[in-house]
This record gives sequence, C-alpha cells and structure tokens, in this order.
Amino acid sequence: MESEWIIELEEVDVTHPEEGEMMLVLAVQWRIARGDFWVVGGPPGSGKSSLLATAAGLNRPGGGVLRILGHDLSEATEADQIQWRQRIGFMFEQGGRLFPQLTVAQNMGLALQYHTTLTEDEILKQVEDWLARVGLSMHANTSPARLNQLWQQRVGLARALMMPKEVLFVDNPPGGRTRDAAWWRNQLASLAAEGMTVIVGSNDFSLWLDTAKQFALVQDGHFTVIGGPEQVRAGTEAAWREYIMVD
Amino acid sequence: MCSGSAQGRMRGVMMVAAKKTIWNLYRETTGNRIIRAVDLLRELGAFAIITIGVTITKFNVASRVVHPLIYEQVWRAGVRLFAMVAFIAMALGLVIVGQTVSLLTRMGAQEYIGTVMVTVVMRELGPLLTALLVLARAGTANVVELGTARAMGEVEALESLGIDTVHYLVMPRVIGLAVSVFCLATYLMVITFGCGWLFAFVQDVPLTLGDYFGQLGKAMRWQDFLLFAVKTGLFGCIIAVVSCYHGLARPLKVEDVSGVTTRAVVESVIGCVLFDAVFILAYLFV
Repeated sequence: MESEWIIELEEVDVTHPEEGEMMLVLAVQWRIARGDFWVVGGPPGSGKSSLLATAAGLNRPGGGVLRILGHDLSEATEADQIQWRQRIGFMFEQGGRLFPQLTVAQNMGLALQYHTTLTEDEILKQVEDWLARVGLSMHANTSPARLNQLWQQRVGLARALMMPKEVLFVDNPPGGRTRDAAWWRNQLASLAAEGMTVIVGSNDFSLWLDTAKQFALVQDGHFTVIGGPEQVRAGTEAAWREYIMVD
Repeated sequence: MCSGSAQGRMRGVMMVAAKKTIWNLYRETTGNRIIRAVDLLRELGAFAIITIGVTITKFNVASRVVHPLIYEQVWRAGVRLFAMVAFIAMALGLVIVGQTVSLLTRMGAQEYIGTVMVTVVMRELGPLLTALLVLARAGTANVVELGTARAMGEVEALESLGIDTVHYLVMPRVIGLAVSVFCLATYLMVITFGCGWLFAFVQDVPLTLGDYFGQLGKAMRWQDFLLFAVKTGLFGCIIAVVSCYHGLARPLKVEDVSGVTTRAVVESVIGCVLFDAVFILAYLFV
C-alpha cells in the first residue's frame, strides 16, 4: 500500500545538476500529499529548479532520504526509476526543453510510442486532442525552434501529460498579468481539480493565491514552508516580498 | 664541526625537499595522468557494460521508436560515406595495391599476391582506415550532438518521459556504427582489390583477372572473414561507446563540447589501434 505522501524529502540536500558537489539547498524537509497544489518561490539562482528536479527524481540528492511514490530513491534501480517517471510529469522552464530534431507532434507522441502499444493513428488522435487543448493545432508539423518560448512551454506541458500522470511539476510558467499567465493558471487549476498533484516553481505568488494550497520558499540554501494563501497574504513585512509578487 | 654538521643537515633537508618536489612533480604530471587514464578506462568499461546489457535486454523494446534510429545511424555513418570510402579505396587500390601487384609480378613472386593483399588490405588497412573515416564523420558528430543535447537539458527531458537514455541515444549509435564500419570496410576492400588489378592491367602486368581473384580467394580463410567481421564491428562499437560516453557521461556546458570532441577522437583512435594490436595476436594463432 502506498503512503499518503506521494513525495517525501527528509533532510535532502539539493545539489547543482551540473556540478554535483555544489550544494544549493540543505536539509529539505518536504512532504507532498496526493492532490496537493504547491507553489515554490525563491530568488533567481536559489536552487528552485534544482529542488523541483530533485523532488521529481531527475537529480540525485546530495544526501538525505527521497521517497517517490512510496519508494526510496537510493534503493531504486534504473528500471524502477524509469517506471516511476512515467507517472510523474515535468514541464521544464525556458522553452520546455523540446527535442529540436523532432516536430511538435513527434515531441508529444514520443512517450506514447516508446511506452505503449497504441497504433500510430491512436497516438495521432491523442496528440491532436492535446494540441487543441494547448491551442497549437496549426503547429503539429512545425519544428519546435520555430515556436516562441511561450508556445514551446505549452508543447512541453502537453508532452509531459501525454501519458496519464499522478504528479506534475511545472518549472517557471509565465507570470504577471498576461493572457499566457492566466492560461497557465486555468490549465493547472483544472488539472488539480481532476485530482492531479501539482507543484509549480514561480515567483509570482499572486497568480496562484486562489488556486494553490501551499506555498514554500527557497532562500539562502534553505527551504521554508510559508503555509496557505492566508499566510502568504499576511506576510506583508516578510523579507521574501522583495522578489515574490503578491498583490 | 658544528658548522659542518649544520651544512650536512641543510643538505639533508634540501635533498628531502628535492625528493618531495620530484615526487610531487611526478604525482602531479605522470602519476595523475596514469590515475586519470585508469579512471577513464574504468568508466568507459562500465559504460560499455551498461550499453551491452541494455542492448541485450532491450533490443526489441519500443522497437518502433528505436529501430528507425538504428537505420538512421546506418544511413548517416554508412550510406552517406559511400562516396568518400570509394574515393579512398580507389586511391589505395591504385597507389598501394596496384604497385605491390606490379612489383611482385616483376620479381616473379606472383604466388604471394593473395597472401600480401589479404594481410595488408583485409586484415589491417581496410578495417583501420574505415574506422578512422567513420570516426571523422560520425564519431565527432555523435559527441557534438549528444554533448549539446546534454548541455541543453534534452537528456534530462528524455529521462523525465521515462525513456532510458542509453537505450534511446547510445544503443542505436553502437549498433549503427558497428554495422556501418563492417559494411564500409567490405566495400572498401572490394573496390581496393578491383582498382589494384586495374592498375596492374594498365601497367601491362601479365596477370588475368581470374588469376588475381583466384589468388586472393586462395589466401582467404574462413577465420579471416570471421576476424574481419569481429574486428570491424568492434571498431564501430569502440568509436560509438567512446563518443557517446564523452557526449553523455558528464554534465557539459556548451563551451565544453569542442574540447570533449577532441578528447573523444584521440581516445577512439588509441582504442582502435590498441584493439588492432590485440587482433595481431589473434592472427598469429589462426
């Protein structure tokens, strides 16, 4: 039986993905329950993205215990990790890290082609449905390089969700008072309403005050849970207000 | 006395310091290089073993995604090199083989033509030259492609989709390059032998085409074919493993890619030459 915590970090040290010895965030205590909606903020370069990648099992922690879907990462084989990753979606920042040699549709269909026995027509149907959902139906056969970064991120979201997921990590979606930011808020709110656990890395807390359940902060190498939207609104004098947007 | 003893102590201290300096110098230069070389060998070995394991256990997994990648590699590292290999093979045939045939015939040593050709072209020059051509064309491209993909975070993106990066990125390259080097070496050998006879014919060497290929056929044993296949396949695997290792094994920044490519080329050449030496021992026993 799986625990109520879908992801647990106990005293986890988050390292730099390229320079493994460099510690970014120390002794993270973080428990993510099923159906949670978290927003994690922090100054640029604080290790927010690395923390999200570590919690998703993409970066090896520098220390501590990381349990993903009830399994200890340190005891997991590569095959186990590949299995879990199929249940966890990750939308990367800055263009979603699409594969430039594949078209938009091929990017989206890759996981289905790799993991399932669906026919090409069935995969194409699902890709078309998702393209319609993210508003990019006209760009199925376009190279990702020809899309702007905002649209690339939408394709990144669709690619992450092509297979059924339990958890979705979204790193740095568009913020501010823009149509794109509102689109992302609505999409993630609807996914959370469907029962998905959502973790967003963003410095724009104001966008998520009506949607997210929990807010946390990465600052000076430490991870701090602020609490719910009320605590965020109440923290008018807090130091993190310098770089976190809260209207 | 006292002064002499102090001088002696001083000399002793200086000798110890010199010894330490020499030791440090050795450790920092040769010693470190040896340690790094051993480390590299260990890591390359581990990477190769992982790749072999994945190839055996997952060859047919997600075949509709991975098998087209193997064909693509054969196309890129094999078919697209046909013209270049043909050019080199013709040059080799005309310059080396033709002259050798002509010389042996003039010396009345025609009966050795087959043995010399098989030893020079089939056993040594053909596989090694083809491997170097494939390394120059496909091996370097592999490092740049994979290194850039790693630097741009695309490898992490593949992992996030639950796709085994060794299966998706390395296995097709290893199989593709092994097949390509084998096929291109065969192609090179055939053209070289053909052009060799052509050169001899132009020079009025009294040797018929039938005699020439008859001698080649007589000199070739089944062990030669087996070792030729193993050797060329292995050269392809070495180039692919070294280039993929350098592209993928360590986190890279975009500016590191050119330096890593140079290292991969040097190490692939060393690897192929060392294995070539091992095959010389094998030929001694067959």
